[in-house]
Order: sequence, then structure tokens, then C-alpha cells
Amino acid sequence: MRIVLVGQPNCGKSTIFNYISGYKAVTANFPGTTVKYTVSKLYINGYLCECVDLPGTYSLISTDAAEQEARRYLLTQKVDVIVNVLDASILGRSLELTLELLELCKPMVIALNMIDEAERKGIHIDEKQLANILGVPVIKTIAYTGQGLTELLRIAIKAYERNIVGSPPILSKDVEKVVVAFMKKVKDIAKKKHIPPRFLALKLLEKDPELEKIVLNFHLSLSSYLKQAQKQLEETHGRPSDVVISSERHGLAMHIYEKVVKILRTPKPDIRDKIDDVLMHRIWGYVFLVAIFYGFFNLVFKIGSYIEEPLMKIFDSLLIKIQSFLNSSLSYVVIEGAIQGIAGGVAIVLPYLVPFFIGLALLEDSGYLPRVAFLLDSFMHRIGLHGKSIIPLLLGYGCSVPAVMATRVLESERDRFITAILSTFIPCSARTVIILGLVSYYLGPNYAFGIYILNILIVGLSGKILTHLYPEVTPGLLLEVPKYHIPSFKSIAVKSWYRLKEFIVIAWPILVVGSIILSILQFFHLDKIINTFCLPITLILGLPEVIGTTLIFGILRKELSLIMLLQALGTQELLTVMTKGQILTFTVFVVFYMPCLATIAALWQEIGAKKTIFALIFTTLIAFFFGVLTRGLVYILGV
Amino acid sequence: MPITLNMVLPGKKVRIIMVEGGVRCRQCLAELGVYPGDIIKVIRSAPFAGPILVEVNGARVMLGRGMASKIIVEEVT
Repeated sequence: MRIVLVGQPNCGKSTIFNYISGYKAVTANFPGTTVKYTVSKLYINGYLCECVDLPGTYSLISTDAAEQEARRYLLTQKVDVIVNVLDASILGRSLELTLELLELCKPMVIALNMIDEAERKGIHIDEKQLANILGVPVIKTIAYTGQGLTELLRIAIKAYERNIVGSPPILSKDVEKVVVAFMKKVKDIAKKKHIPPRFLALKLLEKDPELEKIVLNFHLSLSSYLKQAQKQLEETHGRPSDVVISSERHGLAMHIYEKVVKILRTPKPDIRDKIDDVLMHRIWGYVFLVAIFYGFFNLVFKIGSYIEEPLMKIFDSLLIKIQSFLNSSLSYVVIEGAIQGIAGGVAIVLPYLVPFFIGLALLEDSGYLPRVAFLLDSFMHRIGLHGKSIIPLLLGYGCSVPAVMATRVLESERDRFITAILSTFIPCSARTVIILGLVSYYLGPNYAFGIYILNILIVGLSGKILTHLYPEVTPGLLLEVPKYHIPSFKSIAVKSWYRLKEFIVIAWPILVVGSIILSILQFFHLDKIINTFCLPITLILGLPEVIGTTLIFGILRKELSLIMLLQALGTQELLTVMTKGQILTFTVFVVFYMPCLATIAALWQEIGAKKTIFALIFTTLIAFFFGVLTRGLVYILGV
Repeated sequence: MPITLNMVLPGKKVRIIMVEGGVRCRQCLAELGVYPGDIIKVIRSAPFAGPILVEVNGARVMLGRGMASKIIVEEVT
């Protein structure tokens, strides 16, 4: 059987999912973390259950891609029981989704989550009364402590066994009459599409773009009925039909809210609002913003370099020992390649990646990121986007793949496309390793900081170019600001590990194999062919010829560029073979040129083939332009 | 007297009269619980003509100035 978790963003759905399935979904304290659904299998009461965590959705009207994903799943997949997770501290609004879900006529239970948060606000909820009104069981839960979750699953199974589907809400008389009449018209097509007729009727009256397209394109006769019904609602209520229906639901939700909620006391002043007085302040907000990110990257660098140096020394001495045994035979070359690959992972990548992921998880879970969107919205407007786009961009500092996927929370297709391209420019953790391990290590942290600043300028400039190429007025910023949470140790650990695992199981093996292949290529002097092929690039940028191969490997995984660079040049003492200027030019080029394979795949999926190819060309052009510019500047300034 | 939401000073409470703008805009606002008739409290505004932070039905939501200028409100005491 299949249990599906549905709820509004930030209601603690993923935390519940993690609790019952053994920690797998990625949680964060801002809307839109789960952009694709996550599945996990477990046994409950002897049933083999498939538990599905859908992306958070405010309603079943599809306004953005993440919400579309959730609704499409509910309408097209076999769903045995719905677990609707509600944020009890904002019950009124949360109930609107519940009322929509009831229209689906599926077995359902309600998890009244964050009940502690509600009580802190002085809100007491009579869950029995709520269950009576909705006709489905209601369980109070606190997801992060696990309270009520075992009970929730038990009741969910019961709801499935007894087919407890609840009672769909009845609207006010005149509206109900129009809905029922129109329902009869859509009955046949609803049956064909396996959509509950009442749900389909309501959504069409609400002008849902996706369903309108499906239904009206194939059933022209319906469109006149629809227009007539919409007109009827508009005439009697003096408002557009979508407003009539959604206001009905809103009114019902508020009515239920008043019936089941007792306000025990006025809420105590929340210390967390005081934090916002500083972090969202018109001056201090920006001071802290810069300080937080500067401190973050500085700390990552300090920890990383502190671990990197001693580890590298160990591997270097190991290599020298092995060489004295095997001399320069083919077997030595293979072992050397393997060790350099392993060393690259242990000593160069992991020391930076681990603190980076932990820090990023802290920023995400605490709820700071939406505040960043608030502070930077007007700057994003300068490049033709708005504040919500900042979230994919910030996620880009972790990895471009989730960043590209996070663009789904944006409403307009054009914003999605532009933000997706821009997010590939952001130095992901792999490229951070290159910047820190190369520029910061050989030229000093200020140069590395300079690259980050340059990066932001280029992102801004590219944004300007792209929004100029695709002019359109964006609908503007609209984003929920969650309360701060003290991140739980478990969640941070799990999330960091989840991301780290990606590197360990996917990138590292490629790295070791790639390193061995490069060694063998060098042994037989085959790398020259690739290098000759890359000659136009290296010549223009004024880089050593042997770097050609590293650029090719860098497309597989960005961190390969750095390790392959050391490998190709055959030394850890980079300054003996490259000038500081060349290191700088190399890094600038590598940071911007073509995204890695995984990102290309993500782009392909999110924005389509044509736009992906455009993105590849665009990024490479930008990389060339700024690579050459760096070379020129280095030449003039004599770095 | 009706004014638009972007003109409201932080700390003031207003009632929404109507939302101008298209279906999309209305639906996005409705999703976050912003409906005509509801009471909104403006908490703060960002500098450089940035967004405003409001509290509506217990949740905090930020709105860009463009979006806020489409929401017609009246002050409540």
C-alpha cells in the first residue's frame, strides 16, 4: 500500500517522512526544499508500505512546477491513503489545502503538526471536534521529537482498511448549485481521466491552467458550459469565478478554525521576532549578511587548509616510498594514479566539503535563507529577477544540481530559465574546492575572496544580459517567511551526510579511475592528443598545454579539474610550473565554463534541450571572455 | 480611504478590499492566505524599494512592492 504525505511548505512533512523512514529526505527551513517526491519502503502492521513525500503545496491549483508535481502525483498515481500534514500554528490557512484534499475522496488522516508551536502562541485546538467536522481522524504530532508519529501511522492504516474518506465541504447554496450542475457536465471526462468529477468541476471553475488545457482542447463542447457556469458565478457574486470558489473555501476554513480553536492567552512576545529586528534591519541586516557569509567561507577555508596540509604530506611521502620499490614501470604508474585519486578525495576535497555542507545545512535549517531573499530582493530586481531567485542561487554554492531543481519554486518560466543558467555560474562546493585549494592556497585568501566578488558581478551582468534578451515583467516576490528553528543535530548530520555521500559514491570513484586513466595516458604519451585538441583553449588563455585534459575531465566532475591539474603537471608544487597569473586565469575559466555532466542533465530536465544547449554555449562564452580578461589584467598588473 | 498595501507604514493594520491583477496573481496570493476581507499587519519593509513583510492569518509573508501595489486596502483601527 502507498502512504502519501501532503502538506503546505514548511509544515514539517519531510521531518515526519524522515522519522518514519529512517532519515532520507532533505529538509530545510524554507519553502520548496522537496522539489521532487521521495519514496521509501517500510513495514507497518505487517503491510509493506511505500511512503511518499510530495513537494510542499499551498493548494491543489497548479501555480508553480513543484506544486504541479504534487498534484499530478495525487491525480495520476495510485494513492491508498493520504497523510495531510498541517502546521497547527497557522491552522486556518493550512485547512484550505485539507478542504481541497477532501475533494479527492481518498482515505485520509490529518497530522496536526507543530502542536507545541501552536501552544506557545496560546492556541488550543480541539482535535476531536476537528475530526468530527472533517470526517477524518486527526492526530496531534510534534515531528522533530517524534511525538504522535507511531499513532499517526497506525491510524493511517486504519483509515485505509476502513476506507475513511471524510466528507467534502459543502459550499454556500447558490455556489453549490452551480458546481453540482457543472459537475454533471464533466462527469464523463472525469471518469475517463480518473479525476473525481467534483474536483474537476471546481478546478475548472477556478481557472486552473493545466486542467483547462487538458479538458478544453479535447472537449470543445464543455468550454461553452464552463463559460456559462463561470459567468453565472461572476454575475451573482460580482467577482471572478476563481475568487468566488477560493473565497468560499477560505471562508469555510476560517469558520472551522473558529469552531475548533480556543485562544487561551495572547501570544507572548517571541524572542525570534527580536532576532528579525536585527537580521532583517535596513542597515544591520546587510552588515550581518556580509559577516555571516564571510565568516562562513573563512571558517571553511581555515578548517580545510588545517587538515589538507598534513594529509598531503603523508600521501607525498607514501608515493616516494612506493616509487623506490617499483621505479617507473607501468604498474607504478597505475598505483600512482590510484593514490593521487584517493589522496585528492581525502586530502583536498573532503576537508573543505565536510565543513561546507555542515555550514550550509545550518543556514538552511535555521530559516535564514528567506531573510536573505528579503534583503536582496531589490538587488535581484536590478538584474530583472526577484528575491525568490536568490534561493536557487544560494543553494548553488552547495551543488548546481539541487540549485537548478530549486528553480521550480519560481512561478514564471522565464525566471526559471534565467535563474537556472545563473545558478550554474555560482561556484558549487566542487568549484569552491578549486578556488580554495588553488587560488587561496597558492595566492592567498584575499584572491579567493576576489574571485567570489568577481563571480557575483558576473552573475549580475549575465542576469542583465539574459533578462534583456528575454524581456518580461515578473510577477514579483511572494514568499512565506518561516520562523527560526534551532537546527536539530540529527537533521544537520543526515543532510550533510546525504550530500557527502553523493561525492563519495559517485565522484570519488570517477576521480580515482580518471586519475589512473590519466596516468596511463601520460605513460604512453596519449594525453598529447587531447591536449592538442584543446590547444585553441589553452593558447587563447595562455595556459600550459598539458592542462587540456583537465578541462575535459572537469566536465565530468568539477573537482576533477584541480586534482587532474596536479596530476597532469606531475607535482604538488604548482608554483614551479605555473605562474600565479596562470593559476588565476585557469580558476576563472574553470569556475564559469560548461557545467558538469550532472548539472547538464538537471538543466535538460528542467528547461529542455534547446535552452540547455543555449546555456552551454552561453557559459562557455562568458568563461572565455573573463578568462581572457583575467589574462590581460594579469599581464598589465604583472601578478 | 482605500490605499494600496505598499503605501502602508510598518506597524499598521489594514483590511484587504480587493486584489487587482490577473488570475495568476490572485491565486498566488490566495495560496498564502491573502484574501479580500482579511486583516494584514505590516511588520517591516526592506530598504531600496525592497519587499514588505506582513503578517496574515498567523503566517508571515513577504511581498514585492509590485505585488503590494496591486492590493487595495483600508486602514483599521
